[in-house]
Amino acid sequence: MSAVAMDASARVRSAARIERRKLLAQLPFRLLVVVCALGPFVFGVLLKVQSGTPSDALFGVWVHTSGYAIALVVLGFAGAWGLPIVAGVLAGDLFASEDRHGTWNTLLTRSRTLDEVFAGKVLAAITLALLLGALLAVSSILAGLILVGGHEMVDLSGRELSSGHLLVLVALSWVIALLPLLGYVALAILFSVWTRNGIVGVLGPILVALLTQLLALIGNGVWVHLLLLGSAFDAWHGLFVAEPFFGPLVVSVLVCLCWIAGSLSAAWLILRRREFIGSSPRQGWQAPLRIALGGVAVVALLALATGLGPAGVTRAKLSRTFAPEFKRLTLLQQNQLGHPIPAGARYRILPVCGKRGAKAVGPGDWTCTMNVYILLSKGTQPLTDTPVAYDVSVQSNGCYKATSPPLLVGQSTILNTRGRSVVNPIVTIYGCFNVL
Amino acid sequence: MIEAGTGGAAVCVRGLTKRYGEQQALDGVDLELGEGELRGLLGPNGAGKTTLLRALFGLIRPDAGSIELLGRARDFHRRIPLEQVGGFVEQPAFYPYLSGRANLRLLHEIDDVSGNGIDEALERVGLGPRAGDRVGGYSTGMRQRLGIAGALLRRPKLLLLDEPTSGLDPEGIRAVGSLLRELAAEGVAVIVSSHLIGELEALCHSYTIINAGRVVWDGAAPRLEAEAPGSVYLISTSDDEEALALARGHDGVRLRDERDERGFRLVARPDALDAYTVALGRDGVGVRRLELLVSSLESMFFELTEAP
Repeated sequence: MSAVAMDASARVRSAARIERRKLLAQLPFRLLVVVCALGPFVFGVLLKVQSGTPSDALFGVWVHTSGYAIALVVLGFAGAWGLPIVAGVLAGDLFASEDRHGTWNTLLTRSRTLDEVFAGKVLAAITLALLLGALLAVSSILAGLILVGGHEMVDLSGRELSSGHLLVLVALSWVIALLPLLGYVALAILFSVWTRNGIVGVLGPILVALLTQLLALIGNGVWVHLLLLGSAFDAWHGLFVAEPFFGPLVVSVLVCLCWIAGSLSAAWLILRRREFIGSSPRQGWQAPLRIALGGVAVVALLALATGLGPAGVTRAKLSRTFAPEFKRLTLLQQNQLGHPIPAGARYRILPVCGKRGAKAVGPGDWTCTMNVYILLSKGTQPLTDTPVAYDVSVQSNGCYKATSPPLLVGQSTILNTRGRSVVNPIVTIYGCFNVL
Repeated sequence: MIEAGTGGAAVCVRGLTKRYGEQQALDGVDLELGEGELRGLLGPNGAGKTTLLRALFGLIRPDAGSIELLGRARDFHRRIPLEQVGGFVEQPAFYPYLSGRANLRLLHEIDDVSGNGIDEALERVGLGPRAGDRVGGYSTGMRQRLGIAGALLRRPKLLLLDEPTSGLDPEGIRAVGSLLRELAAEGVAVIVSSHLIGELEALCHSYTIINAGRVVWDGAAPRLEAEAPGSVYLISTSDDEEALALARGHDGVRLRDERDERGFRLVARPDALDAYTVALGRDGVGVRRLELLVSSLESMFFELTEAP
């Protein structure tokens, strides 16, 4: 037996291989694999056997129409909860488990430096997170295609997109979600190294995801919302509109890279400063309590800062986005009903949007009335149709869900010209605008 | 007599100092160990044995002093692992969800060594039949043996073992002793720590006794025999009064105060004890019981560490 010469990168890759093997041998990771592989199928089957739809989620009313809606609803849930949970379970115990098992001494008395062990663990966590994210993406797309089919569906600006177009956009959206997933993985690693407590490591990212969602409900400014790691999961929204916007995507990439670099640097510095003087981890609830108190202080500061920056949600942005979308969907509905507008005629929509009981700015409950005019031909007087009122729930990320009562727009499903029951596209309308 | 190897220095420690807050864990420790030498590192709990081994492994940064292992200086800031140095500190720890063999396979992959000595190492410590079981179900003794097997995987030239016999049954302790002697005979320098002196008695070539972070005695086994105050024996005879009277006037034999229904206690070196028992026989006093209570090494240890 003789010493084997390995360069630094080979030693890190070898350390990562060992970490992957350790993770693969553990039940929580195996469960994650099963959930990522089968979860979307279970979700799809549950949707099939019940008539309701997850209408609060973007594309929720379309889950029985197009399989891509299932993939996007799963993506929405994954961004809010699923991927932070994946990150926590995958990486939250990665370092703390060495303390719990007392195996730091075992590792560090072999042929790897602390830096190599750290890099190997990070590399293992990143590769496995990407694999799990990809597995969830493929599984959700396949579940949708198999259970519902790759049918066309309207996007977030009222256009009907073909199956091929949707497939590309859905796949891109999942790719975009991988970067914030890595951000949460880095955060889980930081919690794990810092507290040496697996519970905090696993729950930390989930708590951050929860706080992100709570903070999304308050404040009119865009800066804090955009700097939150969880907001990066919304960056794909800009792909699903007639005039794609990439500002939030660019910002989210930069934000994620900062979170990843910051979390990993902090974890590395903490680990480097550490002396391995005992096998027993920090026990008890002191560490979780400290983290919780620190978290409350940070959240309080962030909550106070949510007003900073220009308002992301304004009347002008909402009106500018909602009106053309409503127009497209109305035309689509009329076509489905077999009432295409006469040749040469045009719709003109004049929206009037306001916020209930408050200044017309910021996320929350809005109302929009769509005043519809039909211009039959040039030079003729416009015909005024019945105004259509919508309750619009607008989120800080610029996405909204607008609903109108059946009295004004008809039932949630309609019979199209081929006698098939289809979603009435103007009952529930999803849309997104650029908050920047 | 056990003889140490006569190679170069495997360990050279100079002025090693480490403080944890108010506690002086190591206070100017010097230690030198040759190739093939089997050194017992003795001291009461909290004396600094484990801290010294941690420093040798590079797990902690000493405040002062230097360490050279196998001719290479240890860099405390870069924490570069030293090849051919194996062993464990505190209890050997493994991943409980993996089998013994899978744990060793991981360690083997971490070690930059070619070949596969896993089965050989497992057999050598007697764990072959249980190697496929999860470590979570191992007893403390089995984990100790797995720890030694893990250390052997590195084919070490220097082996540092922290209380390797802890949790082992007498047979296991004997087996570990034999293994360590074998390794020393193969040229491996071994430091084995224990707070149970009896376990290292007659095993090591040399001893270092450490107390309150300082080396209080350091030397070869024969020197210890010469300098030790003698062993404590319990003796019971057919005529204790006569035996006591004889002991009081016998060279090299010192009586201890305690006397009870089991007999009386005396302190003597082996040669003096031999002469005393012969004298008892000559005076017609039969020896009914002779029991070693405290060995010479233990006597030395207690004297130096001020243990009761």
